[in-house]
Amino acid sequence: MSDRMPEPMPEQWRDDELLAELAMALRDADEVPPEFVELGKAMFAWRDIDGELAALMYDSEYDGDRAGALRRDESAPLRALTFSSAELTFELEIIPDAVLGQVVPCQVLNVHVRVLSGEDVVVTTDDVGCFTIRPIPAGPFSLHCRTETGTRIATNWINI
Amino acid sequence: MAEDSTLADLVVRAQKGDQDAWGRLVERYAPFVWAICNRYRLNLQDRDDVAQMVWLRTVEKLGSLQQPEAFAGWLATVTQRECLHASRAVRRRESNEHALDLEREMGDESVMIGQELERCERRAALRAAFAQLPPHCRQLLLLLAQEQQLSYREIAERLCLSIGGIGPTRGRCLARLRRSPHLKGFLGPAAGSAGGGGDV
Repeated sequence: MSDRMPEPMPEQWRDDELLAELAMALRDADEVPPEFVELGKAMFAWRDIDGELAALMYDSEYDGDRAGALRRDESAPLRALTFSSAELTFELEIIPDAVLGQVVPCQVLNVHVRVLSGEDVVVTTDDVGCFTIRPIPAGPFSLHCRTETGTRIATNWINI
Repeated sequence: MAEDSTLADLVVRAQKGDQDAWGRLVERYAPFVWAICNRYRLNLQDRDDVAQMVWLRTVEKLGSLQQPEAFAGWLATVTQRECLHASRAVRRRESNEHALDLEREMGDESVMIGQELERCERRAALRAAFAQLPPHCRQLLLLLAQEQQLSYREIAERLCLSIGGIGPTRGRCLARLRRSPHLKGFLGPAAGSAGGGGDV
């Protein structure tokens, strides 16, 4: 999105053009349902300033995209995601009815599945760091945990 | 200067936890998210899902956004991505060709997204400039801007103006609008034609 506008001269809009654009500007705002705007405002409640972010490093849906986007391969709905922080990596694989995960380096810890309804689920990793979230959360979710060394880590929000 | 510094100011305040500043950012850019959802022909439920994810990701990103000016570009990228995700989900759900065709036909999405962003920012600036006009200007321009065009006679009656006074007042009010600091840099020659394609 590098295409910034050239330096425009305000004088180049005639009065009727300006009025027409104003009319559309006012109409645009009317067109957006208030609930749509309120939804966005409400998301501020999820502002989270503590802890370390495990950021999305790989997403099979987007990385190596384009060709993949046009492939009609309905038999392989699998999606793989990787989230990393300095200390911990989450490897996730989406299968039809569950999220299969593993933390690396492997360790036993509680993974909190945070969802927008507030009804978080907790799963515990096994001795090789694997865990299963079943069923797949219906809406956006993020994974939170505290590592063996005490660091609080959270992934980006995930939307399957 | 007003527009950019206002955006930066809102972003910085939201970064510090100012809910009101966040609300104004959402109000300003919700029409953009809505317009992109329009382009992807998403239904109402999908639009809400997209908006939810877009703003959730934006809240998440806010803390690490180094340059407040980068906010709009970043929002555009996320919106495009979430719309694409939603339209792919539609395709999986309905396994129809429609969404696939849409992806093909939308080939150069980033150009479209860039144009929409430009248009939405310009129109947000116009609304901000309009809101600062004196009441008599707002009343007149509002009547002149109505979809069903009123005659000067009808307008004159409603506003208790002389018919001959409407033209000059219109000119003065538009000149005032034009001078608004909110519109600095927004009223370029290309703007009118860029708006032609997507007024749905």
